[in-house]
This record gives sequence, structure tokens and C-alpha cells, in this order.
Amino acid sequence: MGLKKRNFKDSIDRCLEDVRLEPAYRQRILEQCTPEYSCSTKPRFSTQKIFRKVCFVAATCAIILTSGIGVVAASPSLQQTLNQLSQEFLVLLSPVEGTSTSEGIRMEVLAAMRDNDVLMVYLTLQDIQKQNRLDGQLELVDFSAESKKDGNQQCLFSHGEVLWYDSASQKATLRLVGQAFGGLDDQKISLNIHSFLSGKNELPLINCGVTLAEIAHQAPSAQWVALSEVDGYSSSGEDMERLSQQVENGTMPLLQSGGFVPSVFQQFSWMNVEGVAITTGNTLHGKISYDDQMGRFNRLALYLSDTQGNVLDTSQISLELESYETDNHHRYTKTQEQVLVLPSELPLEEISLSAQVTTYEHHIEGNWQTNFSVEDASLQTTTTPANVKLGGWNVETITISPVGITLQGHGDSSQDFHGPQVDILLKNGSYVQSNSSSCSVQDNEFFCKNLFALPIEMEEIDKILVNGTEVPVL
Amino acid sequence: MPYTEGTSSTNQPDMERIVEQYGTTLLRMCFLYLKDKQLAEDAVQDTFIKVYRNYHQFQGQAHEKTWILRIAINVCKDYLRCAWHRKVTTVESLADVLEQSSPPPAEDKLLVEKVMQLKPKYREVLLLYYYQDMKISQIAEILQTPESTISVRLKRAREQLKKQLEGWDWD
Repeated sequence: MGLKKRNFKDSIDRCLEDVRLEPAYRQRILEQCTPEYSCSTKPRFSTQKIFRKVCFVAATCAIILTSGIGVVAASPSLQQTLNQLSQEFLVLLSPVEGTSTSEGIRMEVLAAMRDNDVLMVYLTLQDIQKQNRLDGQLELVDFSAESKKDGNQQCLFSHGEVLWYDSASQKATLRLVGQAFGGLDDQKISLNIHSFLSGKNELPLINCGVTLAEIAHQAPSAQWVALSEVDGYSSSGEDMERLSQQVENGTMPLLQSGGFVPSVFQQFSWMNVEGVAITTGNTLHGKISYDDQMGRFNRLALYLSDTQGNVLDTSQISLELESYETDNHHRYTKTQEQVLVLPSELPLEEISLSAQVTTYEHHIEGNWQTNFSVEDASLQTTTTPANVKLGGWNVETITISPVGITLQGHGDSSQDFHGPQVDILLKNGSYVQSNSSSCSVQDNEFFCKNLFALPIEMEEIDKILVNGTEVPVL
Repeated sequence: MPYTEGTSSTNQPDMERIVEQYGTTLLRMCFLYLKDKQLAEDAVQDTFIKVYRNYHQFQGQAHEKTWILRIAINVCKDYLRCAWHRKVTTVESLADVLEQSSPPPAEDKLLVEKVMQLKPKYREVLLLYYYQDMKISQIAEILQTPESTISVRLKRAREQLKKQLEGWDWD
């Protein structure tokens, strides 16, 4: 028995009647399918193909701003709140007045800056009910900044971080950075926050009290199945490519049953370690399932340690086997298998299983929303030619502005692309580091954008270093 | 025999014809695959640009539709792999899409919902077979997967849907 093709297709078409290629959208596609269209001069709009191994990297920013006297374009109250920023930076910001209160927490948007494809928003969250639900490590979970491009809603890539937290007033000041590949057209921004986490607690490394030899002995009848599908994976270490290839080829074994269950994890109600076992291919597999409450956010990471308790540097891959979606279309890991490559130089008797556990105390959900307008700051930019090899790829131009740096180039699309390390050396000898970076690879062209934690003065730039290679600034 | 459908005199693909012929069904298939209309629009755009740039490579090796669907599926898979994509709040859900038009019959909506709940490997074979009217051999070529595997996945996809749907006209 099978489904009739005509019924199936007709039903789909009836249901999705409004999902069709509109004339304006068709025209935009056709405009790009001509020999004259050049993507090097205009980043393609809404192209969101992100190289899978490089999405967002947030690093601690060390920036030294030169002191100076600038015009303060902000109101005294804004300046008071942002008094830890330099005068030069305040000049670039536009004051914004927008507040939203939900669940006894008040959001106030203070200032914003928009330029080309970058949006920066400074806002505060305050627990007006004084319930200590905020702290200096709070993490935004469900949030977005949206603008319009060519009449269509454009969701901006964004990440948020806490700049500082005042425990007396229970107010956190955050910066939200949004980035749109293809440029921001519209002044109108819609900012939405729906949930965040606080009360982060990273427990000290847990010694599971068992060596790998004991695991191998206690789980000799572990059953394995071939990997058929994963919802996602991430890998690290010198064997990451080989591990990734095993996943892609479907040759990665998965632990099905019979694994050893360390008792030390029973204290955590939000997860279940279903089993740990070792393959004949010298990898340790740990299968973990998470509940749909705090299990969505709390995390367990397995490690290997030597007899002194030192964590061993191993290659690993984490497979997202099952995930589930919430009503607001966020996906969370339900079942995961962590795979660690065993070091060859140590016998199993001298390697122990350890774990790092991270928990959060609060997951606060609400509806904080505000709309505001911010004009294009039209920041000064400088584009300099470059010729820096990144494996099979070549950086051709570098464009720098006070808030970020963009690398553009071409290469062999059959070669893996790895986002480069970019450093800015100032004339005073200090380095500016990026606090977020993202790359987009489309066919044989790439764009990499690194955003600075705070704006820098362009005339103070001495050198740009791409993977350690110097690029003179014109 | 080389397949030379729809090329212009300068051997460039006739993109107006291609976009017109495949655009809407491709968009609907990508929407069902990615479960996000904006991403689906991006995927369709990416697909057609790849088609335009690589059209010279395919001629004589495959049917045009098979080749285009293969590109589209690979684009959708790339989007799904990206961890960032999974964290983005979808602007328009299926519910939003359905609310924009006159309400579809309940059984149509149920089918779409159940298809979207399938795992990607079952969803894609189902869409290619029933929505795009591809044969097993063509699906195997599109997904670069053995025909036997495709047959098994199709069978399992049908079984999963059969459990969920009632009152449908089966073969």
C-alpha cells in the first residue's frame, strides 16, 4: 500500500498555495544570473551559507583606546550609563529610547549604531522585582534583531554579551551585535528578546572514578550500530577531519547498548548517561540523553585524564543524534554521543574518565520587544588589496572600519575553508582582537567579518595580520 | 544523446525558463525541507545561481530536473548542517504561512505537518518521489545513495506517514 502521488502533490500545493516565487523575487534571482553581475562588488543579499566549522567565535577582547576629547552626542543619562566607554565611541552612537517590561524584568535600549552590514545595540536588563535573576554571566538564548531589506524581513546574525553588571541595582548592560551579509538597508530595527539564562555554574572537573581499562572490562559486550544520520556534529583536535569524514561516510560506529554507566552522574537529574564504551578502533564513546527542561542548556563534556588528574589533549567529535524543536522553532539536543580518540602513548590503565559539567540556575522566558530607528553612521572605511594564502583560498581585499574588518577572496571550492586569525596592530604597539567573527562561503568566494568589541581609531592602525602574515595598510 | 534543453544561442542557460519551470515547486520543496520560508528563499536563490554558473558542466550527463534537484538538496543540507542556522528564530513558521492564505483543508494541513515532522532522510526521499515525481533511480542519483537504501527509506517513510494519516487514498 502506498500514497498516491497525485494526492500527495495536490495536497502540498493546496496547503502551500501562498508559498510561491513572487515576481520581484524572481527578478532578483534573474539579475544575479547574468555575466555582468559581480558578487565581489556587492555581497549577495540574504546569503546565509555559513561554513560549517566556523560560525561564531566569541573571545575576550583586549583593547586599549587612546584617550581624546570628542563631542558627546549622547544625553547625560546615556553617558552616565555608558560612562565606562570612551568619548570617541559615544560619538558614534545614536541615542535610542525604547523600553519593554516582562516577567518583572525591564529592558531598556540605550543606544545603537548602524553601518553597512553591522548593527550594534546597547541595552540594559534590570530585575525590578529584585529577585536576583540576573548576573554578570547571563546569556541571551532566544533573541533577534530584524530589519527589512528590499521589502523583505531580514533576520540579522547576532550575538549578545554582558558588558557589566551592577548587583546593587540588579542591572546588566549588554551589547547586541547584528550582522547582515548583503548590507542593511532599513533604518527600522525590531529587537526581540524571548529568553535568557543566568546563574551559570561550571563545576570543578569530575573524576568519574574509573579507568579506561575498567570500562573496557566492564563493558565487553557493548553493542554497536553504524551511524546512519545525525542532526549535527562538531569536532576538534588534530583528528577532526578524519572523524568528520567517518560521519559523512556513515562509518562512524554508535553505541547501541551494553555500555558502562558511571554512577557519579546519577546526581544530575537533567541528563542520563546511557553508557560509555570503547571501540576496537581506540575511541571512547559516551551516549548521553538530556531532558527537555534545563537539559536543553546544561551540559556534560567528557574528558580523559592521566594518573595525575591532568586533562589529556584528545581529538573529539560530538554527534547530535536526536534533537527536538520547541514551539518557537528552536532546536535542542535530546541525545548525543561524544567520541574521544584515545591517546596511543598511554595504556588504558593509566587513563581515567573525567567530566566537565555546566549548569544554569535560571531560564527566564518573557517577551521583551521594541522597535527603533537608527541612521547609517557612514563610518569611514579603507579597503586595501591583500594577497594572503589560506590553503586553497586567497584573501584578495581587506576592508576596515572603526567597528570591524572584512576579508574577501576566492579559492578552490573543493578545498576546505578555515576562517583566519586576524589581528590589528596599533601604532602604540598594542593589539586589537576581534570578539566575534563569522564567515560566509559561496561557491568559490568567501567573506569573513570580524567585529571589534569597541570601535578603534583608523589612523592608529599600524598593521593588519592575517594568520600571522602582515598586510600593509594603505 | 546530449540533453540540450533550453539553452540560448550563446550556450548560456535560459534562466527565465528554468526559474519559471522549477521555481515554485523548488521553493515549496525547500520550505518543507528547511521548515523556514526565508531560508527556503535563500536556498532557492543559491540553487539557481549555482545552476547558472555550472550549467555547462551538466549537459549530456543527466536530466536537467535531476541535476537541479541534486543542487537544491545539497544546498538545503548545507543550511541544515550549520549550527548557527539551528539557533536562528524562524521568521515565518508553517503556521504563519498557512494563516496567510485561505485555510487549507484539514487533511492537507495534516499531511504537510506530518511530512515536516519526519527526519530529513525520510522527508527528502518522500518529497523527491511524491512531490517531484522522481523515480528511485533518479533519487539515488540525486542523493548519491544506493537504490536499495532509497527503497528502504521510502518504505519506512510511508510506514511512518501511514500511522499518522487516516482516510487517505492508498495505492
